[in-house]
Amino acid sequence: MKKFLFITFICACFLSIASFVSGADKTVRVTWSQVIPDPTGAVIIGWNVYRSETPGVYTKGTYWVRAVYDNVVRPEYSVSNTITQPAVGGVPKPYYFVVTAYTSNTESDFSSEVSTTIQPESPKVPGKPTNIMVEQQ
Amino acid sequence: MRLQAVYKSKFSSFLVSMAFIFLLWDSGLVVTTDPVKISWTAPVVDADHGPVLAYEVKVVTAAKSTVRTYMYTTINSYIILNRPSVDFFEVEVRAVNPTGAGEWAKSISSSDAVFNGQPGAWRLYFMLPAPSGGGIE
Repeated sequence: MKKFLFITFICACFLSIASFVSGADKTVRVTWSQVIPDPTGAVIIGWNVYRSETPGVYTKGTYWVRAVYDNVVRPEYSVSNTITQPAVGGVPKPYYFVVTAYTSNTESDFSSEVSTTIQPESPKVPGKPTNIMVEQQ
Repeated sequence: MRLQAVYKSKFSSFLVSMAFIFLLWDSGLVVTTDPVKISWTAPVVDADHGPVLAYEVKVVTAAKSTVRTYMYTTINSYIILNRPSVDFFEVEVRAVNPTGAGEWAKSISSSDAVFNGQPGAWRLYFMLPAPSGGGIE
């Protein structure tokens, strides 16, 4: 029975798209699930998240961000990374992501691909201060 | 001839008095010889306005024929202003960030300024300080 015991948890990846001047930071959350065979299966060490600007184009080993599994079953593992996209003159740009599980000597196939499009926002100047007052020292 | 000179002198005094009355008509006046603290409320960051990186403060005198401008920069919402010279001054403040500068808020605008705890315009008058010390030997 133990042989067929599976532990399932979710590996979550948070992608932050930052733009300081416009205050247009956005967070895109992408999730995958992972079935871990216990205890006779391969020992997963972690997950590699790959990012691409072209669908289906990824190279094993050149991952974008890595989540390390510490042998503790949790509902969720999360990692984060930042994409900085120019706001001035920027155009909506799609990004594609896949994930793999890896062990000490092997890496799984790529997961199904997910994608998101980031729409840059124009940077903005500040507003006008108010309530200018003077106090004698 | 001498009478004409007296009339001219009186007329000049009248004009100067009227100018002061006009100047003070719609605004409060802070008269001081000491440094003053000028503060303001930061503009809000919203869909149309970006965050503030710093403030520019412009202190302008136009009471005499030559307009003199003194510029200051701060990351705080206040400055301590030492007497730039003996004169009447107006104060303007604007917020800046890497995208550019916002609108000037002016101490002579009752919608931008607060005087005696109420919305109201104000000007500054830095007096000539009295001589210090003194004694008889």
